[in-house]
Amino acid sequence: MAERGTRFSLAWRLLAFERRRLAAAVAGVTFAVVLILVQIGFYGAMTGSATKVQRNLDADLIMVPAGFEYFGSVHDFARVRLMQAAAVPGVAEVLPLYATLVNFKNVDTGYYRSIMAIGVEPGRHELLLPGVLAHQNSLMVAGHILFDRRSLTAYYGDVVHRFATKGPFTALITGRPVTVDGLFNLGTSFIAFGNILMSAQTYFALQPDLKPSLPNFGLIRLKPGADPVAVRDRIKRTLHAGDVIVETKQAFIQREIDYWNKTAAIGFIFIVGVLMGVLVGSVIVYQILFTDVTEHLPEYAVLKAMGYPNRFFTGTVFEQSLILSVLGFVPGLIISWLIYRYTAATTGYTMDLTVLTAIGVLALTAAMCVVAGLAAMRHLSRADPAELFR
Amino acid sequence: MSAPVIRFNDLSYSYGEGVLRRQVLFGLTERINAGEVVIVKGPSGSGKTTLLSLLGALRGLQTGQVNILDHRLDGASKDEQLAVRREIGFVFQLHNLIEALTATQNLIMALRLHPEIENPLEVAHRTLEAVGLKHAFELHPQQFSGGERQRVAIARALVGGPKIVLADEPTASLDGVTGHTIVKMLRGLANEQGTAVLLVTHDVRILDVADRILTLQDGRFVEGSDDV
Repeated sequence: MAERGTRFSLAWRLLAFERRRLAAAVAGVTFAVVLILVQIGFYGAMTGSATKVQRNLDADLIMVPAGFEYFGSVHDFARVRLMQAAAVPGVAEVLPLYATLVNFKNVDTGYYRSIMAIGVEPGRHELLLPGVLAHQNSLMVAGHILFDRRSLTAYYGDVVHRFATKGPFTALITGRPVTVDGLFNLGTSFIAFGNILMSAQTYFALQPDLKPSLPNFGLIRLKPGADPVAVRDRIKRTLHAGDVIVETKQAFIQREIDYWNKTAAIGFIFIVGVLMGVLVGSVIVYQILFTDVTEHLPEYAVLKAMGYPNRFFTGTVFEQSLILSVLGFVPGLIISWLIYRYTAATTGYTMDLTVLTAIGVLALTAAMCVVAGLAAMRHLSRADPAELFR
Repeated sequence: MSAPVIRFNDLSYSYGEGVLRRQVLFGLTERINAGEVVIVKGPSGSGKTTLLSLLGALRGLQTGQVNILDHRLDGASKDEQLAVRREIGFVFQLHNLIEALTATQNLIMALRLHPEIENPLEVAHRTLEAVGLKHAFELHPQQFSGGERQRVAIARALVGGPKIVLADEPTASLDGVTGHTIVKMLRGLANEQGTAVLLVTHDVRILDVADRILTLQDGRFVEGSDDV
């Protein structure tokens, strides 16, 4: 008990003594954290939403037409290529997948809006999404579709509420009636604010100009133990055709991310956003610690005169940096989480604030504060104890 | 006769280089014993402050020899200077207490350099009591008067039980009565602990507390430096 009063942190006392300055520093770090986390969230939402279908495809290899750019771009290939791939050793089965944008009539306003339509073979489980597996029977009925519950209500009307209250109901796609017979979870993307899923039969009934012999994607499932890369190379050698591309699932996902990074420059925007956050945070923390060090130079000089070594002051400013990073990080994390939730609810994008992301940003914030602290520390050399004697 | 705790021989010091070089101390030699209170007086620019900073190991020596306790300062490394400073109590004209800390915590900062001292909180409180601040353990410097601040500064200088106290104009910002009380207190506490006190001042009102007065003029001790 007698020792209690001797245990205090000089770093914290110096920071806490100037409360307004501390509040400004914490606000600055918080702002930087929010900026960084929101950028990461947006980037994750963009890449995540752009690859959500691909990530949920139950396939080892994917076949796409040679001119393929991104999921939803109108490119197709001859189904015979898929059949040829089926004959390659190591391949268990192949499945065609169809996807294109169609017009869905808003169930509330009556306006038509583009929506991503995906055609599958019911019962073959191409997509491992919540809701899809449960509604395979609905898909088997001609003219019945599943609606993505995370599609934007503003674009397509309150389909989810209507389905929940009335059960299956009739909607219009490009003027043709369909029955909304179930809901599944996917989410919006760059090119569509909503998704519907249907059997290939319904898909082509709604779009008579399209042909089942020209799928947009080919799903290739391998036999147990088969090496995807080896089978992919075998398919390439066997087909010896320039009209299709065969990729592993992971490479196919990466191809989509690369496309959007390149064309929409989201990677660049993301990096600039994060750098701006780090820059703003660093400048604020530097300014605060610089002012703190400058104002306390006489006290630091006294401590030097008393016999405190330079590493003590380095440690003090280092500790101040870490305190600021933690104090700024916590509200920044909370604010970011609220922004994530609001954005996800408003846009339908998946905004995941993972523990790993939080830890990474905390480490980045700490590094930012420490670098700023180290820069401010250079002024400590001006604390000359000999100058105390005037 | 007590043993000298401060000895300096032929101590000289200059500022600047080349044509700008200005010598401020010229071959000073003196010794100060344990428990002795010595005042160094002299006009501004006479070299008092420079002498104090050299004896306090706050500046590197140029020429001459200085012995502080068992340490030789000539040729001492930064770490050795640091070690010497930990054995000295400093009192500055402007107090320079840490505003963010209480009186007790200001003393604890000094005690942290002396891990061998047990019950530091008790020692800090006892020292504050000794300078008449029993009521003010948890007050911050800005809550004190000028005189009280200087008392805290003196307590901070003495709390580690130094064998030497170097004080620079400790009464400059105080009124006559308070200044005299402070210096008498410094003397009393120093005597109790057998501490040598070297005090630099312009203040003629406090000369009576000294065992010896050294007069420094143009960097040299002059006649009139003598026992009181």
